[in-house]
Amino acid sequence: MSSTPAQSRPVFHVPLAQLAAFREQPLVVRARDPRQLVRMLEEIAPTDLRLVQLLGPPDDMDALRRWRPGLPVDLVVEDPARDPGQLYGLTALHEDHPLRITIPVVAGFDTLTRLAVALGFSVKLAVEQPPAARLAELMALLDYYLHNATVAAPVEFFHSLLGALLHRQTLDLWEIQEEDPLQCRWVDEQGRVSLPGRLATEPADSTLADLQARLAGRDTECRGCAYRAYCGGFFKWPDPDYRCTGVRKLLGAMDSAIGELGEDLAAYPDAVTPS
Amino acid sequence: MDHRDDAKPTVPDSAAHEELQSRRNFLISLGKWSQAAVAVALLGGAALAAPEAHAWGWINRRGGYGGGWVNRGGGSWINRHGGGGGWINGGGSWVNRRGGYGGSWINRR
Repeated sequence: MSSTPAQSRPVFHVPLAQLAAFREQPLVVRARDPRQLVRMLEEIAPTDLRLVQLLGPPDDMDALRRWRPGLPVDLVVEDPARDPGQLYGLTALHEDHPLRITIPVVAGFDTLTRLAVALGFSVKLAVEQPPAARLAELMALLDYYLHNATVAAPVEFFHSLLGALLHRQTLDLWEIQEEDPLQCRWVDEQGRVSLPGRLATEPADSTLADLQARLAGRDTECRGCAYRAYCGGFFKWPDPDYRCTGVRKLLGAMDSAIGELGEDLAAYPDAVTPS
Repeated sequence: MDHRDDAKPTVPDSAAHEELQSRRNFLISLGKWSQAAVAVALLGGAALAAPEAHAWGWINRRGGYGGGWVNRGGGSWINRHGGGGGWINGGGSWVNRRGGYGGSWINRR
């Protein structure tokens, strides 16, 4: 169901080593060294830079202070169990850039996510095919995101999926998680282009329709799934035999929440007398 | 280059703002929803209808719906056509931003 705008060019996720070769494309540039990132972006000057990603993330990001204010910065955490104190040092950077913390759904992700949200940072949960233990933590984190009065920052994919469900928007997890084949391409250090994320081993010209048709031919779990329009088989890659019982429970909890939110919204005119 | 130049907030008119604020206060007063969830509930549709309405500035001044991602279309950072999801296209992701709450950070159009 991906609702990609009419044939817009895909965004290429490139390492610094391939920046020059792709400089005319819409780009997300990833790097480990902020100083090198800044230097090369200034030298090569890509024509359509969407955001920069810092992997690790590095401890010292002073090079990004006062540099291109407003340019979104995505900090890609590789080990959520690492000292969460790394996040405290980001508050100054947040003054100059929209910051997102991308956190893989592996051991320790929930604690780091709560800290990031408490500090006011947007979070993207990089989720693949979570095992039962991680699903339980996702469920608890969803409850925290929905109901803790102090939570003001978006936690993706919860945030956009909640909006899509609530407002009946045509939006699926492929797009929310930036893995829609129409929208994104991954470029490795050698310049080889592939589909993003979980689709990396699929043919580069695959469309979601192709992939979903193939899935429909071999798996019956998606058939009749109430969330198929919003999931689009997202949780069936890379292993199509992954069982979605826990995922459906998670999405069901979101569905229940939007039902309750809708009821509360509907109650507003009776509960409040406009001044 | 200041990338904030292309994301100036659209300020809703006073009556619309007051109505939105009143609804927000009502939902918050129930004591069972986060500010982020309330923002999605109240702004998702508006953001879809007006993908250029990067309301992150105004809404935060009046009591803070959060980091502004909600109003900018949300999760997505990349395309920003609306919707949500990714950061890349404006929809779900941060990459394209088709409009909405949107996850994606990548497209931002």
